[in-house]
Amino acid sequence: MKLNIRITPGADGTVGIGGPTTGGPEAPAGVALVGLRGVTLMVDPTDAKAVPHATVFDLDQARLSVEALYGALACEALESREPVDVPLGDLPGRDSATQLGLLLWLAENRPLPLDSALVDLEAAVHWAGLADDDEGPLESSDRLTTLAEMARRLRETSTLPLADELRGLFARAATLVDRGREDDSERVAFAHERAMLQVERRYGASSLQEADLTWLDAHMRPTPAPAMGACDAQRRCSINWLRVPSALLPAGEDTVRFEIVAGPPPRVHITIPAPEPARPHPAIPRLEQPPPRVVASLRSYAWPVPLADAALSLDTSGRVWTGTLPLSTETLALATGSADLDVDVRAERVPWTSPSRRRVRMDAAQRWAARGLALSRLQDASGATSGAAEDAFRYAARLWAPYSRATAERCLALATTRDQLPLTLAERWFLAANQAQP
Amino acid sequence: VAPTILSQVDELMRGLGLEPCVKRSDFLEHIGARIVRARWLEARGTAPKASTPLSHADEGFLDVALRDLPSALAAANESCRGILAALEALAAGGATTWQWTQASERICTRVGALFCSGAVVDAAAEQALAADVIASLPTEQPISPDEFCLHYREAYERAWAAKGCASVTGHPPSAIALGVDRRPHLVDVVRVPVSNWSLGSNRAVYLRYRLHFKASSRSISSCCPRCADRASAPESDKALLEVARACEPYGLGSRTHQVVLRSLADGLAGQPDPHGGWLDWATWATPCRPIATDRESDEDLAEAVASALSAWQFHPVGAVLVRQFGLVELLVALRWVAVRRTWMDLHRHERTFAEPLRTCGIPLSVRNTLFRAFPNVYREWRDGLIGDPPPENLLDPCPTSSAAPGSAALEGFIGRRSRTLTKLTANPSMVKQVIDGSVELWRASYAGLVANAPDDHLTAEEAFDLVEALIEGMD
Repeated sequence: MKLNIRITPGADGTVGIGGPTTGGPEAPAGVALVGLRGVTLMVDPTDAKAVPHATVFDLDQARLSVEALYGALACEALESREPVDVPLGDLPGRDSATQLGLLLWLAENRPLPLDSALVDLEAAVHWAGLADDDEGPLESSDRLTTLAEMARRLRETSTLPLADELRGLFARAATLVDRGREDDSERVAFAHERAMLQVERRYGASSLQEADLTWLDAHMRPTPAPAMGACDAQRRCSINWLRVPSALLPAGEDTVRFEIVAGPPPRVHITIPAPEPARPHPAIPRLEQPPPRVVASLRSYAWPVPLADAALSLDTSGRVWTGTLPLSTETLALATGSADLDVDVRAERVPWTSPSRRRVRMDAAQRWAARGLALSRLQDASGATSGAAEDAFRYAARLWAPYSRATAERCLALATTRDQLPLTLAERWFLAANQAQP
Repeated sequence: VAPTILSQVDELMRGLGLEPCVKRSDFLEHIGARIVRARWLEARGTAPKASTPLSHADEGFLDVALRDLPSALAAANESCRGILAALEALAAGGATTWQWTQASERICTRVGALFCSGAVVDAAAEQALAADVIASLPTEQPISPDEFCLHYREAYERAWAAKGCASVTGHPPSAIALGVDRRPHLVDVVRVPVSNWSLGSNRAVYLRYRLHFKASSRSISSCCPRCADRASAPESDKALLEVARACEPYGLGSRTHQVVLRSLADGLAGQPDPHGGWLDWATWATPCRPIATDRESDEDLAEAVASALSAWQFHPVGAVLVRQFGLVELLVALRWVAVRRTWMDLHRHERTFAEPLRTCGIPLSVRNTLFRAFPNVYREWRDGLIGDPPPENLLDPCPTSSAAPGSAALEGFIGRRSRTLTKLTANPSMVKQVIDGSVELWRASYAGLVANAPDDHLTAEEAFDLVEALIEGMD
């Protein structure tokens, strides 16, 4: 059946494509924004068949993308002064955009200890195929360097896992990176690997011996899936995934432990276990990242400003984030007199905001739906029947129920029936690594 | 991996054993894939992108699109060979010098266009195309960082002494979130985590010079698209030009562009109107007119930007981000991203056009930030993957400078807000005054609280409103 899609001109000169959406709770696990030339898409990762909503903010630049994603008729209708319904083209570009949305959602939410570098590379290649301009993520010299090094490792070690898929990823990147700038120093390695790819296609691949894999060290062991979380103790609370540096993810529920000490001097002790590192894929080099800067505030839901603030630091073992927040006599009295306290952990650059139990509960609901989605994707692909994904969706439904009945019902439906987008390479690597070394 | 037009043409060429005389990837993309897409368009009115995975329905059409392609590809390869020979003849005659790597893509784009239009490519056409390729080649290649240092250090020292110090002190980049209040290096001596638009005014002079040679900087169709006068910037020594420009306020040579940047930063410095805003950019930008430069900031432009921000928070894209992160949480990053992205647009405009940007060039830049660039980079910003280098890695702006360099991250309203909150956290009795509505008492005690540095904090009214707003947001 041919579907129609609504094109709605906005009063401010933008144009909406698809149903109205505010990014509110109708997407139980949140949405991903995919910025393309002149148009930004909104992808609900729980709904593989949904047509992404789009906001066109520059008609001239968006035409190519809109035509590729929604069809020529939608493109023509962008000039309309009234809302119109047009037949939706059945176009593969849309599937690619939806898959990119899923990758960006995984990068942002990190519900599982997936190899983030692999998520990043696959997203970058998808994105470059859709972005079609100089703002594409393959403009980044770091990514080009990583891709080139990945290709080199794959070329020299034929036994690496997912080798064919990763070669395919590099081959796709090789067709997308600007060829007019290969004399740039930062692109020399990439151009070399592109040339090697062409040679291999003609003459066949080389390979090294198993002994060359000794650099696969103990750090590359598989890690267990994150704790599903259990609220069983006082003075515990959860991390809001979207407010902390990505280095603190994945995080289970109730992983933040805090203790108020009357003193002297009065203070709050905070400890948060650092996440288990993802198993890095051996083909992908690691780039040095700046150390994450994390702050924590003691929060009372009856008080508008923090009761205490301090930076957190990673202990010398690298396994626990700790911090001590100083309290004054006044703030100690407020803290001990408050029945509803927790800790707001956030990136240093993220400012304080009003304490809102409602928002904290909705964020928790979104996290449980995200866990449900992430686990169900692996479960469905591997044929496992642990029921963890279904439990997560059902718990998300309970948390959503007071705020959005429709979203709660959607979570219940996802617990039993779902259409999944194809697995990403990082998810496949996660499965393979865990199956290989339980 | 799903097949694409590119992969299918590649496979076909390998099956045929066809080795193009130009770069294979150029031949694939600009000739093979282009011909296939043209056939697709003609038959179906629309065509998948060359690199987009094909659907099952499309794969069915692939056979039709690839029919007779081998002969077309072979003919196109012969045309490329003819043009290469003509180029060599021109070079041998002393008409010009050229590099194979530069000519390949240019030859392929021209041959691809001709084959798609059905034109006959005979010897005369090959001669004409060769001349056209020669004319399109860049006349200049960038010099190396070492050469740049050797030839331009002295000029930079002189120019900075004459103007740079005054520019940084008179127009501190940190005040508009453009960078640290320091002197940029001549070449980048310290490896920065990310070398892109996020460098802002911290960008080394050599990296500014390199922008002239970026492939993407040579097409500027998006900037000021409806301006009547698009005369090109005059040709000059690009290195000297960048040395001089780096010493100007905000590292921009045009007074108009300095005002645009400052106005943008001003427009994004305050709290968005909680009731929303409304801005029809098309109306605002028409007629396309010059930006007023009699003041440091153009009020009209700043108000337009503030209104766009106020409207954005209720727009689907803005609403998603506000729902996920909170509006206040986003403002510092948004201003930071907007100013630096726009700096790139303005610098590109100066490299390309003689006339400064006019009003019709503004909307695209602002919208691109709000709807695309910002959503794309917010996570990197929050994670600290993009940011300013440590000030100690940059140079003192003035010979006798003793002031600590300003930091771009926490300036403006958000910085004052943050410092005020720190004070209030330590003084709960003052928060109680707001809860009790004791305005007079609040004014008196707040003045004492910030007496040491009143300009670094919110005013008494702003701080009172802030606490009230935080109380309002509690539930």
